[in-house]
Amino acid sequence: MTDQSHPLWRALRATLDTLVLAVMFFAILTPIALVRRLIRPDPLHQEPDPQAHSYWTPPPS
Amino acid sequence: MTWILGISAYYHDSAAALLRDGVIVAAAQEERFTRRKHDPRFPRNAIAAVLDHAGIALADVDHLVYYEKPRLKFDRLVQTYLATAPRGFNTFRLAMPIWLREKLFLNRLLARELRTIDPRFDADRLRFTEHHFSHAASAFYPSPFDDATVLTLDGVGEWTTTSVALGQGNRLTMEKELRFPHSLGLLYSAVTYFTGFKVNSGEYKLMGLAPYGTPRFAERMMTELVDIKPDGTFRLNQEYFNYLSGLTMTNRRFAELFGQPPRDPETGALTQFHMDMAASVQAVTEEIVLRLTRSLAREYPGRNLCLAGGVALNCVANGKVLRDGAFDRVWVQPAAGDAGGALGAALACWHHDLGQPRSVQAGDAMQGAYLGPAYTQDRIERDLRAAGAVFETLDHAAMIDTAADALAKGQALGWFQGRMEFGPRALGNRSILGDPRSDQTQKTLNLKVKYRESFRPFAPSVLAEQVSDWFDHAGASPYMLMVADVAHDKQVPMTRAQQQLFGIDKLNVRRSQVPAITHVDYSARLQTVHADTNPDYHALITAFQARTGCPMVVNTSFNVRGEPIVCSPLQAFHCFMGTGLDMLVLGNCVLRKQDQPAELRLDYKNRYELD
Repeated sequence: MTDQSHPLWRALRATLDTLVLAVMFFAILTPIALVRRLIRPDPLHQEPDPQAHSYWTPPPS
Repeated sequence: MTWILGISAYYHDSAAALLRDGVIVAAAQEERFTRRKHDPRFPRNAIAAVLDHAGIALADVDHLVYYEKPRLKFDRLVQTYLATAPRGFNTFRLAMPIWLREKLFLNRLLARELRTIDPRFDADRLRFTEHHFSHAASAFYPSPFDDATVLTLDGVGEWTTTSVALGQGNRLTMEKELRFPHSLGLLYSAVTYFTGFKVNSGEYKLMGLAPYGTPRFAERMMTELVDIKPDGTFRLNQEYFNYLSGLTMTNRRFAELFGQPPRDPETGALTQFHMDMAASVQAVTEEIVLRLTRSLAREYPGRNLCLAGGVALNCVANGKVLRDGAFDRVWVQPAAGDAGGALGAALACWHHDLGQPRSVQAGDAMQGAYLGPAYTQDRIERDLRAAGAVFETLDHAAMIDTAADALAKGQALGWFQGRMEFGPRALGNRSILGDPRSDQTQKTLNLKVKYRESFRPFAPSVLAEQVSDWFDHAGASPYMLMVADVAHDKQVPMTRAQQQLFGIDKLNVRRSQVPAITHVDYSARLQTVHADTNPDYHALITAFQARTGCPMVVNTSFNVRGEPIVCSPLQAFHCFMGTGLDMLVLGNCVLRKQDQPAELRLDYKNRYELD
């Protein structure tokens, strides 16, 4: 099983890749995200703001 | 001498643009060379073409500018996951490997690709500019204005989705912006997806569909989907959208709000509901754009407006902005989408980074957008001979007369002259032309030539001197980016029974003296043709007018559905042989379909996948 283009080998790699990405996403990124959202609930300013006259923001310097 | 090369790539519509001391020398989109529509790959062929046009090597380029900042874009991705996790794994799984392997280290990837073109290329010459700054630069620097208010609107760049800048001489200053996920481009794309069209290319169809509908959902969209302030700034209600964390644009709640699931692109029937959705999102778009331009006109002293970004390809909205009169003059960058970002990035480097002065050109600095490769008469004849084509070579005047005669007889004409256009529209150098007075033209061109059943009519190319005689429009519109009504005395009113007709049947009613270019609401997408930027095309339409009294022709891009516009003489010949075109004119060569050897006929109908 050293031929890396073999379909079985490729399927194994794809599964491993997904596993690594799942660990990155659910075990690392998600806890950070949840904690951050406790501190700052709407980081992307998704909610409408009835009080605001305008939604313009200054450009980043 | 300073050479600057601008590049856009890796999202959609890769392109390259070359400046010599700030003057636009050449620009082209990669899709034309690879024959893959909206090709997002590294624009190897486009770069080769613009360098070739200038006769220089890549190592001669002093500054190479990429049109956006990948690290900022990556930041947006990460921040989005932090805002949505544990939702979002499906997009994370697809996006992250590409980002970690390539896009995050784009400077290395670009340097590697560039060194395969020319091993002497020095990676230190690589720079990056922001996505919306590229758009703003492409809108302001080539414009005919010394000072202007610049508005850019698109899907999203790094973070910005909408920006306002002020241009003055060679200075361009960002004033303010709206940020992801609030985006007019993404709203339009969401309805494009929902009505069963392809995101990033079907938006144009949605705009063409809108006049068949009534905007009965516009109120619902403005109360539920998008919160619009009096100055036109807005936020999208993310409860209805899925693009933040999913692989589709809209979600189940969106479907429930309008009472139907998304239309299946292959099997779903296009009904009045979809036309009403199109009319509604078009109305909301116009409302937002008009509120924005009116409030900007009040806030800033300038009387000139420049537009770019994908939303600026909405020529219906552009026409309304112009007629609204909040600004005296409006100029739209013809390559308003991401391809134009390559040009904007290069211009931003010259004027903004290097501080070089800018001299305003009469008309504009885009040279009619005829910025692509050209082919000499010799080369055309050699290619045709090698392909086995049967042709005659005429002198210039006879060529114009022959082509005008064919058009006046109602023939479908392939027209290939000079330099290829930069941007999404064919403007009379890689065009298929027809007689706008004929009831048959719309049907013939669509079914026999373009292989599509289109609900939108074709665009007119009208002599600039006579645009006001035929349309409710004054001034130049050289890039087909303004829509105006057919003049009242040229319209034919519809009977009550005709008003009730639906879709193509309504389009087939003779609604004006030029039915092939008149939409069901009497509008037309104007291209004014100018003798100084395109003398051959101007001469052809003048000759057509001498025969018919009509100073315009039908102009549609030289391709079939799903195919990129032809670039080379050979591609034009193949498209000619694979379609119902009657005559092909390349340079001074004239080809008639009946003269061609039968064995050279091609089956072109199913060559390209649906767009």
